[in-house]
Amino acid sequence: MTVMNFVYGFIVLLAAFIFQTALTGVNRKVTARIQKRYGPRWYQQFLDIFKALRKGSITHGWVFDFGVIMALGGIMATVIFIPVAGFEAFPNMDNVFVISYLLAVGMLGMAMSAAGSGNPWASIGVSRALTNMVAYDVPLMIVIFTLIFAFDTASVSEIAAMQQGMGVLGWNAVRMPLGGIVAFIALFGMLGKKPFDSFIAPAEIASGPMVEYGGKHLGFMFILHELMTFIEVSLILSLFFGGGSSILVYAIKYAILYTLVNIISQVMPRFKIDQAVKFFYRVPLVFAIIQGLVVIFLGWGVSVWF
Amino acid sequence: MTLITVLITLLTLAAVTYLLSLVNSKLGAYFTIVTSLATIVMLFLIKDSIGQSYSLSFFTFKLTTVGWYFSMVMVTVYFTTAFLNPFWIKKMIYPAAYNLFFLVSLIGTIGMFFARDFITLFICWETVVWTSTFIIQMGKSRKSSYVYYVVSAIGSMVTLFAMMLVYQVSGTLEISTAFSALSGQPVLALIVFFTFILAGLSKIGIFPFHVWLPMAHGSAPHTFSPVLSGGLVKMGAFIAYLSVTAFAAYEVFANTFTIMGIPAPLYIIMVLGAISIVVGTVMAIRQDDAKKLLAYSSVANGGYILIGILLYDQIAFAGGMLHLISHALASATAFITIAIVAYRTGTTKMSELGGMIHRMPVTYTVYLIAIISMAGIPPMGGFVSKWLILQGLADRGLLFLAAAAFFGSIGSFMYVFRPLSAVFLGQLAPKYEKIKEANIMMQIPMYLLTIATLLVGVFPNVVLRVIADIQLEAGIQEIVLVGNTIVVSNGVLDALRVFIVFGYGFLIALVIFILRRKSRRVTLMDTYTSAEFIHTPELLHYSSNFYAPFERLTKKPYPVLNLYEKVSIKIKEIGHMAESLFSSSKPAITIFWIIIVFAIFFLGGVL
Amino acid sequence: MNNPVLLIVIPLLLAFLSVIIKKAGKWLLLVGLLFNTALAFFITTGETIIGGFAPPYGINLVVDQFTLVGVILINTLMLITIVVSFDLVGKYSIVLLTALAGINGMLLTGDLFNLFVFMEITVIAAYILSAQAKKYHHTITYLVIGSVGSVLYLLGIILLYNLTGSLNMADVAAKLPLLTTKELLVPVLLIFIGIGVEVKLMPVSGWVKGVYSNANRLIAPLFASVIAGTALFVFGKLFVSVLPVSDTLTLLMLIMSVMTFVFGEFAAFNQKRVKNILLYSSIGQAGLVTALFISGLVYAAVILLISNVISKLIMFTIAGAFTEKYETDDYESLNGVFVHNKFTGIAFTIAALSMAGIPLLIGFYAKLNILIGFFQAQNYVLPAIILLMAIVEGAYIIKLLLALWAPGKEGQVSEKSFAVEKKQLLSVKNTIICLIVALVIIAGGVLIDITEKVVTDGQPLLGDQSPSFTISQSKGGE
Repeated sequence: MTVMNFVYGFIVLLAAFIFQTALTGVNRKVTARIQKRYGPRWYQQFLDIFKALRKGSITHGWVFDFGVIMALGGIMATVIFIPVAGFEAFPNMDNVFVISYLLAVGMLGMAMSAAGSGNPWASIGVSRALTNMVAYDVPLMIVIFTLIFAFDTASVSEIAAMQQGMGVLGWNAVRMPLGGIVAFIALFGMLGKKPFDSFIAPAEIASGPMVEYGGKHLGFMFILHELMTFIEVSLILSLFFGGGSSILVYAIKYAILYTLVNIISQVMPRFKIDQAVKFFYRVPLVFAIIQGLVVIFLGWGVSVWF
Repeated sequence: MTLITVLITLLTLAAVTYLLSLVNSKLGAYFTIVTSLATIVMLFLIKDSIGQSYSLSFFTFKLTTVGWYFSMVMVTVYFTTAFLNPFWIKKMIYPAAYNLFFLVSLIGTIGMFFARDFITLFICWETVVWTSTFIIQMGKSRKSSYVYYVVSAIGSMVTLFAMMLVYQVSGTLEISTAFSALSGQPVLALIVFFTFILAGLSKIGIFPFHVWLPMAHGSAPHTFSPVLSGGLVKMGAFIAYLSVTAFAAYEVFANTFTIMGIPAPLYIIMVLGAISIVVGTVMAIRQDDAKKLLAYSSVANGGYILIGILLYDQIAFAGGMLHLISHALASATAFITIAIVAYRTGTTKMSELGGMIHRMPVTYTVYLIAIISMAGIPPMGGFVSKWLILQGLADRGLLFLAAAAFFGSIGSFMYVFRPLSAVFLGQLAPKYEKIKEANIMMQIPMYLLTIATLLVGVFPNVVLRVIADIQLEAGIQEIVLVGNTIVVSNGVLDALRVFIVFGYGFLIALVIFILRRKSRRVTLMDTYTSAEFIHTPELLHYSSNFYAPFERLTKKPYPVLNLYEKVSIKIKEIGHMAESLFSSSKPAITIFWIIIVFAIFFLGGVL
Repeated sequence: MNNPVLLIVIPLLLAFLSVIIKKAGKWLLLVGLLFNTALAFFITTGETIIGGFAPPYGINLVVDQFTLVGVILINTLMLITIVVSFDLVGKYSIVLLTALAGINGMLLTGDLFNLFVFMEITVIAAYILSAQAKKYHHTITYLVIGSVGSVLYLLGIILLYNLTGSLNMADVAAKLPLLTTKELLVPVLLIFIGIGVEVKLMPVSGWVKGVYSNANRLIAPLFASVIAGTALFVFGKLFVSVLPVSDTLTLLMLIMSVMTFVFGEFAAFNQKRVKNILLYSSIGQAGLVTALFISGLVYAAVILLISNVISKLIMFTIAGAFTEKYETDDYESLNGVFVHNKFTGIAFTIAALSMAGIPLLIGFYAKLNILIGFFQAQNYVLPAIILLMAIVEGAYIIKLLLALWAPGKEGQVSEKSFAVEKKQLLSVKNTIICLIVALVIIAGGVLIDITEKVVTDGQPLLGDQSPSFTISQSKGGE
């Protein structure tokens, strides 16, 4: 662990932020086109974030601030651990459990700060967000568990590397199709995209956890959201869609995956939160378990594909 | 210093505490702190003589690493909780007895962990059971004390059966050698295994024996709930440990039907552990009483510990043993903070609280760290142990157990957050405007436990080295530790590095935050309310039915307690029947029975 | 001087004396008891012939280790009972002295008919004592059932006399192997039922509830520990050394005993009044003791018997005090009664916990011996039943203790102010006595080698072959 690791980490952080924010901007345009609008400029998202950071803000007490910092800190640490096209800022720290649980620090910080605002809307949003998490995470974790069993490693970069060199057919999403489906659906839940966006649910619960934020707090939340998106999409990309052998491939695949999710979500209705849980426990969970059983007992999709 | 000296010293100290308490109960309560501290010191003093045996009358002991480890966990919980005793002692109906039983139960657990023969094990076990029964009754419910005793008695009586059976077969009561006589007798081994482990299951709160935890933890005196959840529950883990080491379940059942390389009997118990994780999690999410919520979380965490220990391998076993300490610390901390909130406000119902952070920031922070650990989030102790268990499960491909483990681990975010939000965050009710932070005495245990939780989370290898010794003692492969890194076959973890990177991220965020314009402080009531005017803080606090959508999904589950009550009613019915048949005050009926008995005897005699 | 006859004669003599000197009755009773208790410690094992005819024709008193334990225990218990409730003795001193004579006779005699006579003396005294509660209906019930039992017993020994030509216990035992099971069926059964009435076996224990539940502080422990203890000792002597019967009969008697045990415990679980709990528990424990005697586990049976009668002595005394002071013994209306009487409560608790088989009390030592004995005999069903019953037993005992110790409704933290009004249950003297007896319970459970030495004196009781738990066993291979 040298200073260079931290520098690399910072670079990853910065690159991830810039890339994902730009991509979000592009996708705002994509969304607009689907809705037959013109849409904002591609860099609008940057403007929004920097504007928010410049504005004055209110605070509801120390935990309101502390939660925001803890959330962003936790998410940033997670981003640093994400391997991008085989590059790791801190080698050997890309354990999938570490990433997924460290992500939870950020979420906890956000939830804490939101609940600390004293606004019941925020608490309702948090309650829904956590319920949503229980919904999508269990099937996803089971599929990830299957991957760890199959490849005997929990390192994200190693799992990604094992899928490379065989083209599309090497991807876990193809080798383990049910698992791939689960992961793809879970990605919607993770990103809070429709049909699983009831915890943000604009116009329904006064924008959920975000209700009290303004100024720099809101700016933090925007950054947080971009970075979280980066973590989640990267995780699914590396684990199920082969990651990327070079930065360029990685970025292209990433962009396609994210845009695809965005496009699909635009034509979706919204599940109520209990419907979301019900859905996840009815379809993806069963798929995940079947996939797990197939891999564990039959060994299909592990080493022999062709 | 021998173990016998330690135990006798402790008993003497307990007696002194009792006598002091008779004079001045508060003084006695302070003495419980001294005594438990003395226990820690003495445990360190005897650490060098591990491997030696001692005996006193019919008690025999053997100093083992595993016993030492369990004792340390236990005494840590007792020691830290003891700091609360002075503040509650005046509220106890029998203060002197409370102090005495508090210490006697500690001594009982230590004796049990070092027991060398079944009788010592059983006597110490029962001592703990009845002392804790009498402490729980000093809380707010007699029924819970009763249920606690009955469930414990089911476990201990059935286990006594196993012990005596083993004694009959092997001719010895010494734990390590007695079980060896069972090899080659699969049916007998099966009976012994299930009966022996039952005490463990009932104590650690495995489904369907979990009924006592929410009742007893929820209504025990606030100073005893941390001990119950953090400490005494772990006695069950010790029995589980014995069933894989001394009983050698993997060898005894080696020729039986196996599931994923695990003998079926063990797998059944593990499935029960998995069910407990799910039941504990779902039920914890539904609770309104913070203590009951934490009690159900203990049920869930007991499942992890059980599965970990029973897997008895390099990775998951280490995880289970580490989870023992990390859950003990986290759970004791959480119960202590709730106790302090209850001390100041008089309630543990989440729907009646709120906004405590503005009056008790230290308590809040301590609770936060405890739940981070309990939910298994880095950089706290709970993460490392859960990580090991999950890696171990993934290594073996135990899908269903893992599914339960994932559900429990993600569900724990839900339930640990609820008290955080409902008790500490949100609106502060005007009636709690005047309450104060915990005083220094109460803060000491909180700091100690928090530091310990953090240390286990950042430097887990300090504890894992002891666990590696236990693995060596148990004859399984030791966990590989390189410097500060844990290396398992399918992954590596450097907890310190995770902590540093987290700190790095936090620092960046902090710098950005400070560099931006300072924000304006507004009151809690100054929130967005869609232009409505609400002036009652209580109405603006979202705390009851926190997870209503989730609760809607899970129909109100069938209370397992009803099963016990049904059995109890059946017993009463039979008793009533016997009473009305045989205890009639009419002599004629007795004559009738005599004739019947004669008839039966004649028939029996003829046949 | 240490002639066992004196144990019977002196109380009878004093009984006559107290007819003459009525005022001194109480003191004569005390003198008799003190004498008997003291003497009991000095008599030695052996045989005493009464009347000059040598057995099997004459009557003899047989003192072996088993009898000795019984004599010492029962006389001591009766002394304690009387000392504790000396204020209640009143006009019953003659009856009590007669009963004392009868009890000692029952324990000591080596003759079946003589046993009948002493049993009648004791039982008649018991009828009179049971009338103390002024519930004559129950006394009549007891009288009728007791008489039926005596008659059956008498019939049994007549048949036995017909078959063996002897009434001397040793002689009968020697001639028994010559008889077939079918021949023995009727007499053994008659004796079993006859004794069963006093032992309180289930179908013939209808009288127990009425008598015990209305008895006061003096009568209740007298019945529950002194008379019941004597009956059990006699049962043990008869069915272990005199009539060791064969398979079918053993099985049937065992079933009846175990049924008594199970139903007794279940019925106790169903009770709300302290005395009712205790009396059904006594019935249950009596069933277990008989089951042990029939199975040949004499040492375990004796230990259980001792632990049980000692516990019951304390508990019935205190239960009697409940009715005396609070006019109820419903444990829910006695909520928190021990808050004001801590030492009485401690004695009661120790006795109760010993009954529940909590370690380091003599009840646990008894349970351990029972289990070891049964397992050694390859019997796995009975230990299972016993342990399941131990759960039931523990359940009702702990419920009782919780109600008596911790006042307050569900959901309330126990506080002194919720307890029933303050009254002193037992006088200081009596509390101290109860505590000393409780100390015996602890000592008996902790110093098990001494317990074994005291009870067996190094010899097996009645030729008992079953193993017992000793300190060296726990040390394993050392």
